[in-house]
Amino acid sequence: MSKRRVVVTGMGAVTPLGNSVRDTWLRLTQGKSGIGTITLFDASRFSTRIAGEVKGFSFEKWLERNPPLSCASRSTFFALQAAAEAYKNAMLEPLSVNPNRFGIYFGAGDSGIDFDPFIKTLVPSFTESGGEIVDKGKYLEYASRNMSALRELESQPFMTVTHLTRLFDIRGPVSNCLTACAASSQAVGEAFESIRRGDADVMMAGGSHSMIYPMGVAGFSLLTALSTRNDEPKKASRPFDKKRDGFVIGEGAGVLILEELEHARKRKASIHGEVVGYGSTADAYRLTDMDPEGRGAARAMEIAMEKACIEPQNIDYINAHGTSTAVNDSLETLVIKKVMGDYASKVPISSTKSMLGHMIAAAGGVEAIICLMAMRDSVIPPTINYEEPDPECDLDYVPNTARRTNVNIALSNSFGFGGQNICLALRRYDAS
Amino acid sequence: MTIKRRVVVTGFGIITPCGTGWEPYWDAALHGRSAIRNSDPLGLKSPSFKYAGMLEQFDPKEFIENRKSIKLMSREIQMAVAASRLALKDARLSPENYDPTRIGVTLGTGIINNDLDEIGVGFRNGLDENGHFSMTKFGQDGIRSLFPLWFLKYLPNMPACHVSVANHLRGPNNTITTSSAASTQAIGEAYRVIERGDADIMLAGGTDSKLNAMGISRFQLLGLLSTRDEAPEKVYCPFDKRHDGIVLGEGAGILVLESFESAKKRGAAIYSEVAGYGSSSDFNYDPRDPDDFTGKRVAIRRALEDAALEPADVDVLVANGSGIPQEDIQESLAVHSFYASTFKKLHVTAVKPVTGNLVYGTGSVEAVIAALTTKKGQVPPVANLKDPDPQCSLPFVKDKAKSCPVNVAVLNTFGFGGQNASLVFKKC
Repeated sequence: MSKRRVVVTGMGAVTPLGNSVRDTWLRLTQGKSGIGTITLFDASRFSTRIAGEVKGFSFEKWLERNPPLSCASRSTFFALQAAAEAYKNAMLEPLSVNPNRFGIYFGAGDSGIDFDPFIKTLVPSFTESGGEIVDKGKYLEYASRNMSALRELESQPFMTVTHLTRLFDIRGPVSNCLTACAASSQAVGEAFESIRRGDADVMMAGGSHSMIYPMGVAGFSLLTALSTRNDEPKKASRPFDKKRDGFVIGEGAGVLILEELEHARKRKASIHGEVVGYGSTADAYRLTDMDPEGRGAARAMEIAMEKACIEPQNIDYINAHGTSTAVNDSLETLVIKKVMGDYASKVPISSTKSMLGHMIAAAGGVEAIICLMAMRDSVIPPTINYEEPDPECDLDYVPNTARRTNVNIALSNSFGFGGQNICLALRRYDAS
Repeated sequence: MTIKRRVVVTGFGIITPCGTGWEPYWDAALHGRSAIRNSDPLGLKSPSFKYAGMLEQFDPKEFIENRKSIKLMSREIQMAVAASRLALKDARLSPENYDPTRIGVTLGTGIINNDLDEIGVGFRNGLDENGHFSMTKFGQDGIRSLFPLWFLKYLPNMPACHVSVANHLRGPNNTITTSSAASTQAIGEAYRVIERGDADIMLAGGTDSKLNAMGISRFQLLGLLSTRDEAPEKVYCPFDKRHDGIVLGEGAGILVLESFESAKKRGAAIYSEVAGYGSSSDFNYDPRDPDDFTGKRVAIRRALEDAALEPADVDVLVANGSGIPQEDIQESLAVHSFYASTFKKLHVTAVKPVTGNLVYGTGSVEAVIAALTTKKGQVPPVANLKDPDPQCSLPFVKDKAKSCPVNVAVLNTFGFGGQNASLVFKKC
């Protein structure tokens, strides 16, 4: 018996370039940047003052219809919006899927501390002197007065999934993984495996995240991971360019509806593409650095290709992790050369993070959608801000303008901070 | 037809308030002995937080040679790395006898709470001359006074990363964050990874400590903690008439899951077989509605179906038993609706009072209990259960451990927020 085939029948996205797949895709193919100065809080004295924020998002629309969402986190709203788009795009309705066979594997990120009540609690709890900075007894006392129980609960990453399961009547298997920048790719991969195994016929997969909050920006800044090109926000994310100086935080959500092929065919759903491979490995090298030989990342790509039964020459496009940090981009180049051999210089590679920024846990879900759109329209979105070649990055990065070419098979790379490597293999759906 | 690979448990590594390793924990569970104590050693000076299950003797240096790396580890990470060392040793695995690319890690972890004294430095330097917090001052002077690698200690995926680095495990790596169900799901997901052939061995489990100001404040706000006054070792009493909430504990547990062939090939001792896994979400919005147990029931059913077993095959149920009254009642109704016809045979236990509630890490140590019941033919009693709540009428093991043959043991773990997971262990 051959394994069950898994196709994508629905897609939804909320990104710094638009609040739908259509808007995001249009601007990606035009090479537009979604990066700007941070408006979500006063970052004027932060070393990094830029990010890719979601713009013009209607929180009210969701709140009006769903009072239980009153304390939900920013990224939960993005997830709901992207999920609603994907659900509609898949032409799903309550009767078209048995809720017990409809599951979810998500990569929802956390939403940080509820800042103002936290400050209100923390500041009066500072000690006057001594080794302890904060009087914990006082903190607990003030917390009970200042903080909202529901907001604290909603800041936990699993709450996004709780809302999704309830709103879309998902009663099948449920999980949420949070493997940093690889989370939503991993979620898509695991959802694919769930359907292959037969645990569900339809899975919602993807992720949502926003780390554009003071402690998120501060944390990444201290790790010297962020671009400080504050005066030219639109030029700040420049993967593979010689003058790249770090990543730019983005936010949003990317949601896919994965479906068993026969189930999709029976209900005459339109099919955007097929998930054919998923590889997951760890660097197990060092917490703060990637493995300089890129063994884990290369192995993840190889596993995805082995599962998909494809060879390097079959690959038409690689959506790179391409964060715009010095180390990632040269190392990813090395990894692609290692895996693709002679074919490495022939395959078009692009980093859409050049336009969206790095949506952290949500990045991989959106990037999988981008690969499927590239197949649909036979257009590869560019790597923008590619101005000066770096001798260590000497492959074809589809610089600055989109390219019209046939895409049948695409790989999407996601590497998580701490050494998790995920690669997804996607293929144009062939009905024959 | 693809034949599913069988998955067995060949090692345990746990760190709990009962001590280091699985033996003291199993012994405490068999005797219904709780390690919950007065919380004074935490130094919280809070009259509202009285009891906890604490690791008082834990020294990460005993387990981690690279002293510099300890600085990058929050307590949750230290416990997880220690547990991974114990687990590999217990399974007689060392880098010389495994292929690092075929061994991976899946852990359940939540948001790791910041140490307030650590981030407090940054915020205190963000106060203006009037003592008010100022974002510009914080941006200018606060941030740079923080430990530059502070952020790395608190990302939820870090325990699994450190475990992979410390033991050179280069296979699949995942972190599950589904509330109190997280560790049980991590074990279930790791089981799937081996079953489908993506790895031969997985370290699976979880780690958590909410015994810090940020963690405790959340539980207090949510009104989930027990507030009764009683002797500390008696206070946590799931399913009892007196149950009034959670008592928090801390700890980590890691199971070595291994394909049956791999275990056989190297002649490993087998504790139990992982035979089934099921997950679900609660469907109602209000988690406090005691009548909504359908989601929990579905997880239990799915795990048994996955194992191709019937309710009548189950000998032991390690219940979630959180001690939150409405959760205990929901679980009792779910178990009742599923197992009622087999109550003559079924033994129900719950072990959270032994260590306190490990929250995201809870399934990681309770899975050890479930697996051991199949190995040892003994079922620990529900500690501190005197008079069951009349709405919780299950065939509990009370007062002392029960000896009986155990072929099948099921573990239930339910998270608030509505995540449910069940695992089935089979004698092997």
